[in-house]
Amino acid sequence: MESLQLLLDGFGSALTPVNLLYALVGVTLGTLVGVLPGIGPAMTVALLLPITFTVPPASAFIMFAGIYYGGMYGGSTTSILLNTPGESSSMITALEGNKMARRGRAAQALATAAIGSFVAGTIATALLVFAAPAVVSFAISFGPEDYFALAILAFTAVSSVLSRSVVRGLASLGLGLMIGLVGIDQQTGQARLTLGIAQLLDGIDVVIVAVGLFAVGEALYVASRLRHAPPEVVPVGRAWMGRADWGRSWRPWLRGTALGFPFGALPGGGAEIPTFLSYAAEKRLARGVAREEYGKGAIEGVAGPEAANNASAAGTLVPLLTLGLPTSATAAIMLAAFQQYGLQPGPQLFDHNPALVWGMIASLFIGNTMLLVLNLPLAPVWAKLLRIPRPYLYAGIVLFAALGVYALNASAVDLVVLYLLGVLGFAMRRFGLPVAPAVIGMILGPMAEIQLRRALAIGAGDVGVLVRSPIAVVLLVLSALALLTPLFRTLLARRTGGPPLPVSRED
Amino acid sequence: MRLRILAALAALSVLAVSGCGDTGSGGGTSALRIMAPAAPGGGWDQTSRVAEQAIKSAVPDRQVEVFNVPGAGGTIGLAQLAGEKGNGDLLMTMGLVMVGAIEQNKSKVTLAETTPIAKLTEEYEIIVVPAESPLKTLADLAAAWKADPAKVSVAGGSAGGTDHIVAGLMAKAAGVDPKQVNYIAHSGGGEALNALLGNKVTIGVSGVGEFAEHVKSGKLRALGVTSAERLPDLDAPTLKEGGMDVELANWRGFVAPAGLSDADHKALTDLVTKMHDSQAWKDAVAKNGWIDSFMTGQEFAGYLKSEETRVKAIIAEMGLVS
Amino acid sequence: MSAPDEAAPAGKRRWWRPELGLALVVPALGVLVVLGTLDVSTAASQLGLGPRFFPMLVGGSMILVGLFYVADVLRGGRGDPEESEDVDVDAPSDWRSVGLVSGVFLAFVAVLDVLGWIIAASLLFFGLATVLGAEHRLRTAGIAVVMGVSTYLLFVKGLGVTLPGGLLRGVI
Repeated sequence: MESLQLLLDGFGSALTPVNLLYALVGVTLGTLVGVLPGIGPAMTVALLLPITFTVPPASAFIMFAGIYYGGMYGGSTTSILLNTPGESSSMITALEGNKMARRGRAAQALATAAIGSFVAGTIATALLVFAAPAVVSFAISFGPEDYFALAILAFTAVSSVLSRSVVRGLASLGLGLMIGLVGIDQQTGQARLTLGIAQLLDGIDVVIVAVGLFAVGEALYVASRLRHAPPEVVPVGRAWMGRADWGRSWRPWLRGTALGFPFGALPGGGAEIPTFLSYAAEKRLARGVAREEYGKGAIEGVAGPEAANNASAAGTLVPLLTLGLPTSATAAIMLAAFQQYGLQPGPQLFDHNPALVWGMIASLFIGNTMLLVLNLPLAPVWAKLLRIPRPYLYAGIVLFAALGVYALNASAVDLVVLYLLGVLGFAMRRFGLPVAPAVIGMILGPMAEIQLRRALAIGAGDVGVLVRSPIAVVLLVLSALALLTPLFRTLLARRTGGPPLPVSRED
Repeated sequence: MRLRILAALAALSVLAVSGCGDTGSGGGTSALRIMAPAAPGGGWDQTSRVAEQAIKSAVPDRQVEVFNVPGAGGTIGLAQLAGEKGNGDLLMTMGLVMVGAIEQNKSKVTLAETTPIAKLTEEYEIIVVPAESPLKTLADLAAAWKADPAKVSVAGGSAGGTDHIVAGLMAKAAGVDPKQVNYIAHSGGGEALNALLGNKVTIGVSGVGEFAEHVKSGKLRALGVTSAERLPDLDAPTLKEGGMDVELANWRGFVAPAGLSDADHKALTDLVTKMHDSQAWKDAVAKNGWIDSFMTGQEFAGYLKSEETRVKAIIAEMGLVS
Repeated sequence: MSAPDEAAPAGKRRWWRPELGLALVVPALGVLVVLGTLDVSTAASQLGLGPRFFPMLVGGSMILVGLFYVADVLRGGRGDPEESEDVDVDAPSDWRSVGLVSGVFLAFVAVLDVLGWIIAASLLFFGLATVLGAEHRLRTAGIAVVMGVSTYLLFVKGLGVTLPGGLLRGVI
């Protein structure tokens, strides 16, 4: 219980007025950059790094942590309201969240996202205090073969977003995999599919893909079929989650947390994969009303992924603080900030600078609470974003998309890529190709490839290495189950001659 | 509306709190721009920003601005620099990695189209094994390599980067074909560190700073360092002592566009020299664990040439360019 | 299922639908992936799989899936256009608006470095809003300028993002 005492001391040092102000600035900025398409927490923290020259470390980290959590939450707002995710980790939220908004349940979707983020953030931060050593040893034991198995499992999540036509879903997946191939091959340093354009050597950033397919694609789609009659104003609805909403949200929150936290601690795990998995899991587990609503705006599909992405942010801090191991872009930049102060995160950090570390952890709890307090009342207000006249709204979205993408590399080439992806996103919407598989392919393809090749290289070419680790075997069995169960169920239904179970799909 | 108000509020509060508002235009000479040809947060970016602070403290009336042009190992920034011929108010941070990237990415622009200004810092590379590893010395490593290079997996950073070059040079020194090195590229030190701590790979190569902490805590064991002499407070032999004739520093420095007038060349050199002499620079070098290796003029130009030749040769021997 | 758009003018062009264009793009890109990675060298020793294995897999699958997709479209299958609150799914595609939005955006990319963020972004906003049906020109222009200036101030002065100053460099 020594940790508890130290944590209380941490609260003591974090709860100064100045630090509270930094926390407030952090979560506000974080929410804001999360809302803007293309501008994410990693970039914001990087841009604010120079404040490490002037601000004491505790305050700076409190602010950075606020930006991180705020960014994870903020991305969901535009996903839900406008179908244009602000962050790649919020893309899955758009699937059900936006459909909820269109049915007049925007406020409930925003609320479940806000509360889910709070619940997940709080639980995950508590786990950071009490379970850090266990999580770290789990993360370290993960080898390339385990990552490969994990990627395979995450690919099975695709089957839950394939939409009605399997061939269209797979075509979309293929497009995503192709986008993921562009750039230098990490293992051999050879350029692939760069068409001789130097700016493509580093690959196409996931931010450009997310913003292009979603935001710019949506803007073009709207332009193509603009409703010329004034749109009926969507009722924002009651500003609070009803009893049924609570009942349907709390399990997904907890499951999302359980998925997100360990994944955040894995290098390369990222926030996207647990959101895919959470979405797929909730869809599988959905029963009754939820089952019917899935695909038309089920609250479970918002609650789970949003909890997962916030929990993963806390998970990221475990290896960062205990080992000095950055597992996400934001964490890598926070590591640079530590070094600016001459601090080396790692086992010694807890011994040498307990006040700083525990102050930061305490500030995570504070920041989380602040986010909730800030955003819950704001949910109906955000929902009014939908009242902005359409021409201004979409012009603004494209403006921020261009800003965020340009700010990545200060490169006009990126803007052209953004436009081309926008055209692709438009065509996909127009002709009913689901967008989600493309995004999943783009994120998972490179991971599957690199980890498979690493595993085989380390095993000196022996294919057996892929199933030598128990973690990998478990993950592969889970993937097989995820793929085969629905198939099996359909077959069984046909065999018995009875009406197919409620899995009814048209073709 | 609310969005903008919120945005303005947030921005204002950041400015107010950090007290680093803009100073507005004006000042003695034209503003100096330092290009970091990498994304914010990396080594070149850090060097550039430290330099910005040091110049501001050494020459208070000079305006300095850092900007990032990330991509392709710095070669995109290099191409942009080449387009600024004769611009005496522009510096670009660069280093050993760029020399390799130019070769590997078949960049059309090379360092011949720049004016070398100064070498600033060095960081050495360290070779480590997991604590449980049976390899105790560099001789053990050489023996294992000779027995079967495929069984020695080497974790490090990007293919063709400093870590990979070190591994190639070491293999060569141990009498193994550099092409046979089983190099496992990782993105950033974090991933490679994870593979080492999890005992998934045989050895790891990276900057001393990345692994030093873990060597001290006993989770990793250092087999050697790439410096000419042993490093203070790190119990590891040099590669030379261990029988591998390899010495390599991951250096960083400044270059300016080609076609500078002699006056501009001298002014930039003087400015960088003043920066190097400032206390702010010395403090930052110490804090970041860099090694001061200041070098200007012809000396640096010559050094650059010899590094280019060496890197070109080893990258070709490792089969990284076709 | 009603097919309101491109109501076939009967006869010879019935087999052609715009969706077929997208369907053909998929196998075409698959071919591109395969051809585009043929020349990737594998000189370095790579145990296990080289840099060409995965592209072959992806390219091959895209060709296969793409052909199924084309076949599906030819046999009359169609995807469901995504529904959106701001979109009238039954309206015919307004290609003129799509072209104008594209034109405005690409023009923005072309002039960004010359004119600088403030002017280019204001023009982008104004252009897009007008194409998308904003009615009051003057008000739109006003909002556009406010957007251009405020984003510049916030991101360049507040956060230190690099955006091109262009014509107004030194003024702001």
